Amino acid sequence: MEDVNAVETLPVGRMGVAAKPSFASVAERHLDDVYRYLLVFTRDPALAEDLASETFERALRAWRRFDPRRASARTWLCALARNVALDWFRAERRRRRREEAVAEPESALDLPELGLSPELETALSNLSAADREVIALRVVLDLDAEQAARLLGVSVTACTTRLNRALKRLEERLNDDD
Amino acid sequence: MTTEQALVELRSLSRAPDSLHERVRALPEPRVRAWTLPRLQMRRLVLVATPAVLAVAFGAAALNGVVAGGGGDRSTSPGGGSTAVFERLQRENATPIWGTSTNRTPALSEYDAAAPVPKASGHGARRAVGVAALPPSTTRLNRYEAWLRIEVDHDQISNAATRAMEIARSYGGYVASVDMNTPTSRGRASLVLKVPVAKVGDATRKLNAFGEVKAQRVRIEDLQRQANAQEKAIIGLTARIESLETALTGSISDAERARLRFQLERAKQQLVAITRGHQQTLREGRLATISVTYFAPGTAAAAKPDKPGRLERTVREAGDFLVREISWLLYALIVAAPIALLALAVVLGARAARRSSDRRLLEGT
Repeated sequence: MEDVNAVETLPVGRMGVAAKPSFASVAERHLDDVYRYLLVFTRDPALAEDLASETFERALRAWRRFDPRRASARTWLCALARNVALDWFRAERRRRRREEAVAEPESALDLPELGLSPELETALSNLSAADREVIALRVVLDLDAEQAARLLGVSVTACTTRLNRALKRLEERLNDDD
Repeated sequence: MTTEQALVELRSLSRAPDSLHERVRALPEPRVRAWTLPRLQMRRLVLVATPAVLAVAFGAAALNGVVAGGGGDRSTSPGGGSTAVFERLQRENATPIWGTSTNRTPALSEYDAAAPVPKASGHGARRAVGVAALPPSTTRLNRYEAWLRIEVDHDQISNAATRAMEIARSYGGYVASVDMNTPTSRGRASLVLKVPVAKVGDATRKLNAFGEVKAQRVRIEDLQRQANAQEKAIIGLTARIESLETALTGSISDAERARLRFQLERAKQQLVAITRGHQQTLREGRLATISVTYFAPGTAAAAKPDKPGRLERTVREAGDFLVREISWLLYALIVAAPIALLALAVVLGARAARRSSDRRLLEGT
């Protein structure tokens, strides 16, 4: 597996400014990160696959606006993926509200497997999407607090606080399962 | 299961499926535009825009200074009047001036006559140098004011002032004020004389005879219309008072009597006030005001304002333009700042609301 901690090395262009990499190389390099982020965030492999695909389509359209001096490609792609996921969550909430207005709420479906141990999958399912998101960014992708905070649109302190609370709740859920 | 084990397991999550890799690989490479607008960062924009704006502002000011202040010398007279006005005065005065009856006087006329008086040599040549004031109307009431600046020898200032006062009195006028100062070799005497309008021509000619007229200004304002209106009002009020007094002698109710008395008192007060005003108007039309200044040559040179040079005018115009630019900028800032702040508040508020909404959505999911 590719080392996500590896420092992103970009070719250096004229005047010492980092040249923009090709879209294909960026996509190939960061597809797994985006997918795993979305997988933990949504807790649905099929959905994560669809959202990751849509993320890269958006990235393709917005590629002209990507500036490697302002953010790394991974952070930029994760921000796009977050917007795609939020759009999906909003649409899902609207769909549920419409359905609840005309019919009995559907019973909880069996959750698809993420490829993790059953205890961890159960604990993750009992966390909110907000908690899963911060765990995905800080633990799964190993972003530093500053990058994660910028992506979430909060301060570094708030981001750290959110991570601590999310990990505490994860621990509580794991202990509950025991 | 401990949290540490859970985190290790999370870090070892499986990679994206091959099908997703294939889909992403199938995406085409973005089309590169032949030319795009360079994206300027805010810091660079400020670094470029600030000197550019300053250069434009100073350039415009300099250009304005060169255009507005760098032209040929402007011909101005010491008395403040232009050469054109002086020429107009000379033209209009080409016919006999004093002592003749004129049919028409402008309702309001003001003339400046100044310096371009031919310099005569010798004391005798200074007399009656040919500059004359406009004649007052003999058929209409005028407010007549004249200003004279006459250069005399230093030792003649006192004598000229004394003679000027005698002239005013000899024509039935009086001296309104005298201000004389004759230190060492320089000196000046300023007099304000009241002379009957009918005699103003003779008086002016005599006053001019003591030296060389350096500047002359005449202002004639028609008072006839004002006097006529006052007379008409006096006649109307007198008739009104008579009718009110007649009405009061008849048999009328007490309330009506009180009302008429009140109107009568008011009409009498108005009549007194208008009569005073009319007398004042007649006085003004009867006596002309002549302000005459006798000065020694050295004093005149000192009093003469320095004409700014071309460079000074250019710098002054450029400075004025810069001040105007700054005032425009301040005006724009004052007008635009509240709108910009409001827009910023709306944007920030919308962003905060969206983040809050997103957070609630994720916490409830």
